[in-house]
Parts: sequence; C-alpha cells; structure tokens
Amino acid sequence: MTLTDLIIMARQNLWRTRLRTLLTLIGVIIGIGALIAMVSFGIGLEKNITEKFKSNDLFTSLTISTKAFNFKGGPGNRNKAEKKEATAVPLNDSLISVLQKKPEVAIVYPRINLPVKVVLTKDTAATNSGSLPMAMAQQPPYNELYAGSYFSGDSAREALVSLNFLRSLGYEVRTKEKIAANTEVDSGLRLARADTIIGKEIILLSTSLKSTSPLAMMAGIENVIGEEATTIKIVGILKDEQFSGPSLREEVLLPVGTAKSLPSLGFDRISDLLENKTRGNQYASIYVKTKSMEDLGKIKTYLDAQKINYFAVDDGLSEMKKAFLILDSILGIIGLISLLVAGFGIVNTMLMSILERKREIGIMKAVGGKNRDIRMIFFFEAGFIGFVGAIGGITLGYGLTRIANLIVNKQYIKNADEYVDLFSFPWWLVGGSVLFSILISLLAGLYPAIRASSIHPIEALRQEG
Amino acid sequence: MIELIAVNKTYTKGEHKIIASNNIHCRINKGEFVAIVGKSGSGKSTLLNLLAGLDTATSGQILFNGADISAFTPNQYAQHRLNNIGIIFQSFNLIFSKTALENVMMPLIFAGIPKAERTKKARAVLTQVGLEQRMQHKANELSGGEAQRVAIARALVNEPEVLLADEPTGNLDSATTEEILDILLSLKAKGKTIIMITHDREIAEKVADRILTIKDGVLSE
Repeated sequence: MTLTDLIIMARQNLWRTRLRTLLTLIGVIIGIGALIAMVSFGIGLEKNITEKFKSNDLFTSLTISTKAFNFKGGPGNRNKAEKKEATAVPLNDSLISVLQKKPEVAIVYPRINLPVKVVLTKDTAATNSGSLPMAMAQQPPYNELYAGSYFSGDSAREALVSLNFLRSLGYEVRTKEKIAANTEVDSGLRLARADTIIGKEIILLSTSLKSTSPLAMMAGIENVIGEEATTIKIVGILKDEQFSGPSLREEVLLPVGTAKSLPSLGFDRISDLLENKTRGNQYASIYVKTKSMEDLGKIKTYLDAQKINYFAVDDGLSEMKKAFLILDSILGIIGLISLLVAGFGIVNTMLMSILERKREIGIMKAVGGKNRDIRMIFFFEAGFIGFVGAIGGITLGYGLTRIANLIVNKQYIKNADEYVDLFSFPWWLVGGSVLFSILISLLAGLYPAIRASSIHPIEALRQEG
Repeated sequence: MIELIAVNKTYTKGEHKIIASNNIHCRINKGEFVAIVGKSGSGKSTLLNLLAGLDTATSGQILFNGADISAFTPNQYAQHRLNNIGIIFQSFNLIFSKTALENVMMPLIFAGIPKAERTKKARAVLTQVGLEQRMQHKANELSGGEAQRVAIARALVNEPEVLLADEPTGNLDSATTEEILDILLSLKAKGKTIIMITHDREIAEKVADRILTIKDGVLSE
C-alpha cells in the first residue's frame, strides 16, 4: 500500500463515522489547545522578562559593592558572604580608573546614592537620588526618555525624574498627545503636561554632617546633622519601567559630578560615625558596563581574583531559568493530562471502529491484505486524528491566547505604553505540538491496530454485514 | 496444479472434536472446472477455506504448483491469495460504503499498483462482467446479481490462476444464477481453474468438468 492510499483511506474511513470522529477530534483539539496555551504562557513570561533584562543591558553590567550579595540564601552562603565582605577592597576613584583602563569595560562610574527630600513649588516628597555619567546618555533606558532630554554635562545642576516620583509629588504627567487622548487619571493626582514640568526647578534637601566631635554629639543631634538645599533644574522625565537599569528605585537622577558635590553624611552606619570611620572619597557602589556578555564574564573573573564584591543580574538568571523550567513543566503537565484523556478517547473510537468494521477487515484479508496493511490502515486513522486535532488545537490555543492577551492588555495594563504579549509561540512549540499530538494518537492507535490485524479472517467474515 | 495429500482439519469445541476434513486426497488440474458438492455442514466451506489459505489444516499437505503452502505464515497466505487466488463468496462480501469500482480496486491497492493503472484494470474487468454502467454505484445500491458480478470482477482483477467460488449462486434467483454461471463458464474457457462449492448438484452438473462429493468431511469422486 502506498502512503497516499493510506492517507486517502484514513480520511474516507473517518468521514464515514464523522460524528464520532468529530467528538474524538474535539478531545484532541482541547488537549492540544490547553497544552499549547499553557506552555506558550510559560515561554512568554520567560521571554518577556529576559528580553526586558536584555533591553536594559542588565546582562552586560554589574554593580561593585562593599557589601556581599547572597543570592541563594542558606547559612552556608551567608557565611561565605560575610567572609567575602571582610576582604572587600575600597571602592574609590583609583579602582574606577583601574577598571576604566580595562579593554572589556565600556562605562564605569560611581553610584552615589543619597536619601533626599525634593521640593517642587509647594509639594515635598522623600526619595533616593542616584548618579549618572554623560556616557549613559545613549544607554537604555536613558536613551528613550518619556519627555525632555539628558543632562548637558557631568557637573550640570540638572536632574532626570521618574513619572512615578512625580506621582508622589502629586502630578500625573502626560505628553500633549496623551492628554488629547483624554486618558484616565488616578484620583488625587493633578494632570500636568510634560513640557510644563521640564525646566522647572526643584530643591534637593540633603542631610550633611556638621561635626563629628563627641562634644557636639553630646550637645544634641542638631549640632551633628544638618540639612542643606541645592537647586536643580528638571531636564528630563523617565518612563515607568519595571526594570529601570542600574538606577533601580532611584527616582531622581543627577549628573555624577553634581551628585559628588551634594552635601552628604559620608557614612553608612551610626557605628562608623562613633568610630570616626567616615567614608571619605569612597563610594558605596560602582556601576560597570562591559562591551559584551563575554566581557562581563572576564570582568567578573578579575573582580573575583581581587576579592571585590559585586552583583550581576546574570548570576540570578540561572536561578530564574530553573524556576521557569519548573513553571513550564507544571503548565505542560496540566496540558498533557488533557491530551492523555483525549488519547483514551482515540483508543475508544478505534476499538469501536474495529468492532463495526470486523467484516471489512475479513474482506481485506480475503482479497490479499496482509496483517501489516490492516495495522497501517488503523494506525493512519489514529495518526490522522492526531494531525487534524493538532492543527485544530493550535488554532484554538492561539485564538484563546490572543483573546486572553486582549483582555489582559485592556483591563490590567492600562498605563503601559507598549502592548504586552503574554504568550509566545516559537516554531518548536507549534511543530512539537503537531508531532506530539501525532505521537500520542499513534500510541493510542497502537493497541487497536494490533488487535485489528490479528483478527482471524474467517471469524471476521462471519460477522453480519 | 492443486494437490491435497491426507489433509485433515479438526475443530475443538469444549470437550468435543469436530472433524471438518477427513484425510482428503485430491488433485485439481490447470484449467479444470471442479464442483465440490455437499450438504450444509458437510465440510465443503472448510475445504474452500483451506484451499484459499484463510484457514490452516490440522495435518496433511496442500501443494500449489508443486509448492507446499500448508505451513505458510498468515502474511504468506495473504500474498498467495493476492497473486494466485480469487475468491467469490455466497454473500458477495463487498464493502458497502465503497463503490463497485473501489471494491474491485481493493486487491490492487494491496498489491501496490499505482492509482491510474488500477483504475484502468478495474474498469476493464467490470466491463468484462457487464457492469460498465454501475461502476460508480455504492455496493449497497446494487442488486444481488450485480453485487456478485462485482465480486467476480474483484476476484479476477489480479489475474489469478485459480478462482474459488463458495456457493456463488446461493443468494440469487434462477435468471441471475444463469448469468453468473455463464460468466464462470466464459472464464473457464479463458483458461482459469475454477473450484466451485455448491449444495446444488444440478448446478454442478451444468457447469463442472468434474464433481467431487463431500460428506462428513470425507471427499470422494
């Protein structure tokens, strides 16, 4: 028998019992639809997160810190982290200049992170200020600001502020186009046009150390710590981002030179102050961006050799990938169960078909059909159900995920600028689903096919037609 | 051409043994029209099944053109039927959901003949049995005589040397019986070896060169 004959015969035989075939097909369609929707959600989630990380260059950057990072947790790791902290080298300009000379390094700068109070006209909010060099102007997310422009120089009295921070000041800032589109504003916020915010001056109130003498301390805290005001101009507004690059959670960003010149306490802990251990020209952390992901590995090796603590997002990536693998597996298993149920449906359908077509099997054997031919006929029918079911299932799964996407984007991601595709359909998922569906169907058809081929022709011919 | 040597076939039903073929010796020559006559339950259909390879003998030898086929595997029997034997059944044994043409093409599908060639062959043989106008009709739309002619066409389409006919006129009226017998005689005239099973001695006498009688599984001239 040729392949074409088998396909035509399978189609004709299934069409003869079309209602039963359709019901069996629905089972396979739901099974494959559930499987593909579940797995595509897992893949989509992983893709969205890793792409976001990649687009923010998080896989080519690391942050050097005086503190050791403990990613995995557990007492063993904690001890290791503490040991590492004890050997940390000073984070100062000389380390920055050593790193700057490395061919793998593209950008390196100190992250000067200060708690500040910000006053905009009559509104005040507390936040953390961060620092950025001019070199970061072309790096995401700073190359695409919501409104305005990057700093004019490393010592300019200018600031970038986040949309979220403006909300904490009481402003819901929108571009002219968005205001025209009459988008909703959360209650309690004043709608403001972005171009009216750009150019406004804010006052940064930072805490400084007046004196470290024990006498001053005994006289009262106001003699030790004071508040100093610096006037800064808003030049740009940052977009709302889930992962906002190196200055995560820093909502007011200043040029690195300006940040250095801001009055600050100069110590991290009160105990440092008591032991007269102020930071001097040391930084709490240094941001390093490498030219490629491979370069990041080389820099990490160098830092490890120097016993310098650092945090790189890609350290957490392998842990994250493991978590995604578990998630994908759980989702896949749920889909697989539906497909297995459909598989039993196929077995049932094929066994029913054998009972009904027993005489036909006898006739085929009487006119020269071999056991193998009979097996192949039933095997192809099962495979045909699997193939058509897979096509239907993929269509159903794709359709459902599009609808889910539409609902989620409309209902829950109102403020996002971009359409978020929660599901991903790589070619291997689509191709794999077809093959998997056919495989399950063939497995389901295996027993009925063997049973059909082993029917004795005389016994089969005795069945009433 | 076909030789049966001490062929026995015994069925066991519980504790009872039924002897369907009892020490059968017989020789059928090429081009001969042999009728095997016997009453219901005499073992004639069992004998036909053994000759067709649809069933296997308990003991003895069945030689086809000198080759012993009694130890064939099911697949070898299938190949033997495909190449050498055409079977015509009393109840036609057509697949009702298929057309006359599709039923006739069935053996050619198993023989792996390409579609164009098998259509041509099936059309030719259906024309030969006078059904050129009914080729595209479903088997369940045909009369008894037409259905049996389709069955004959199906038996002939692979050009086998031997035709085995099991009560080919058993379900037909007298006029149609005459038509079917005429077809069988014309096939005999073309050199086919025909073995016909019947309970009707009159029919056997009308068409057969030789009549064998079977009673309680014992075959005699």
